[in-house]
Amino acid sequence: MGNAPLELKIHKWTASLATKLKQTPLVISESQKITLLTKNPEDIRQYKYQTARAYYEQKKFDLVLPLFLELSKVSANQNSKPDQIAIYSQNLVMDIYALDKKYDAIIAQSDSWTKSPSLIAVADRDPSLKKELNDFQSVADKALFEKSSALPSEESLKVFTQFCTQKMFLPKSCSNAETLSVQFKNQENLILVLKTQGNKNEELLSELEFGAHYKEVAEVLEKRIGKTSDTKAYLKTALMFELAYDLKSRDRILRQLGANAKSRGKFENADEEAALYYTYNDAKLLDQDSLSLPWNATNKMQIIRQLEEAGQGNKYTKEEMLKTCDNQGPNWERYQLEKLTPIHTKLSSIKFYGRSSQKNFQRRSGLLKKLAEDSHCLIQGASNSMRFAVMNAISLDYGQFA
Amino acid sequence: MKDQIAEMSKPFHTQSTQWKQESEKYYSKLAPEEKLTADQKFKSNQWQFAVTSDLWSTNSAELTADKPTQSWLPLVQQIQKNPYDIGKLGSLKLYFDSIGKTQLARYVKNRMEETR
Repeated sequence: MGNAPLELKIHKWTASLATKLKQTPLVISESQKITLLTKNPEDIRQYKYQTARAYYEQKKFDLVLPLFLELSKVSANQNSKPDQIAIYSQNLVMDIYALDKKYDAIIAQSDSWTKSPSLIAVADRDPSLKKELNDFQSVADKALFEKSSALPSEESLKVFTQFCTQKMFLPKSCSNAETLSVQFKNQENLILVLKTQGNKNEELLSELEFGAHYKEVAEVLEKRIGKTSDTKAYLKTALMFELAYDLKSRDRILRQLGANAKSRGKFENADEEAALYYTYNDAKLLDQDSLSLPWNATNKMQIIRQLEEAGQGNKYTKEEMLKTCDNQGPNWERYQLEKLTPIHTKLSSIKFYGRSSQKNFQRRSGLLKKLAEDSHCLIQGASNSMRFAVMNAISLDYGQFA
Repeated sequence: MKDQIAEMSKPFHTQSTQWKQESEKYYSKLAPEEKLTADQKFKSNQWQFAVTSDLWSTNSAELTADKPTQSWLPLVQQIQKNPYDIGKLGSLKLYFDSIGKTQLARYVKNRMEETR
């Protein structure tokens, strides 16, 4: 034992020479001897590492793994950066696990460093350690990605979605998340992934619609429409707003469509007019304002008639109603009658006896003629009972002369 | 003078008769209950008749009374939670059908067919 330092020196020298000559078995045996002879913890650590490296080169992973695991351990109250041996060992442990695709072991090994509060605290002060920890985390992330790829599951969907939203392992993470979202019918997840990618607007829109997110669809569509957009684009947007029960927005879109037609002075075609009329009617937008749209005569009169029947008529609607001899409802009959009644009243007030009798006779017969002529429109369009009533009344007026 | 007036009145008498005959033609086309109403409303009152809905028979607007509606948002939210559940879409379609929202009902029906 008295020659122990010399013996140690010789083994160290032999080990060094064996390393240079790449005599791996000799490196192992010499290093093992040194670890037994020396009391210096640093030497022990150094030559355990040498042994482990040599085993590693011989691919004796079963033998090397316990050594590297021991060398890579960090204490719970580590307050400085681990030495290079620990860092190398940590890397090599993860390499060995990777060879066997032991993904969970890789992640656990990485976590032993990256989730260690004491190491995190040191890394905050030491950028070089921070870099090491980031590298380990990257290896662990890759392992998690590979593990998730190996077995599709709801758990792996979560993993891919997380990577996708964190812009990691692109584009594979997002495409995997998309595929698994469909496979597991996770619509919300699919929408999230598509939104994250940002370049799949059409797909996103389609999925949003499928997922009944009508308001979001409508808002996207509204941004796209403009004066040159076709009617379908407006109507689809309005429909989406209506499905989302946002009736105000629906009306805004429909009124824009109407305003476009108004500024053009015409509808694109009969189909557009028919579609807009139907939709306006359904949305209860056929109001006084809507009359300024370039409707055809039939539609325009239909709106007037509806307004009149709803008690929303005005001077204009009355005038328009009086222009037609087609029956347009009770108000039309009323207005036509109102046109005739004053003539009748005036007629009745003219007496042709006594002075100016001839002149009065002529005035009255003239009014009678006018009454008969002006009644034609009402008679043409009225119901049979009204026709009967008016003609009967005119007959009586004529009878006053007889 | 009387003779003169009588002579002048002749054409009016003729006109009165013609208008009466014409009016009778339309009267004859009325259903019995319409005749009754027409008799009551017009025969004795001359120009005092009113346009009332009970006389309204020709070309009247087919007004459909608005059915009460409530927000269908809760039904939409159920679809959002279960987009693959056709039953949820079916409930929304039924509701649209019940309130006469044919366009919306048609849209949901198409969606149901796409989902199947």
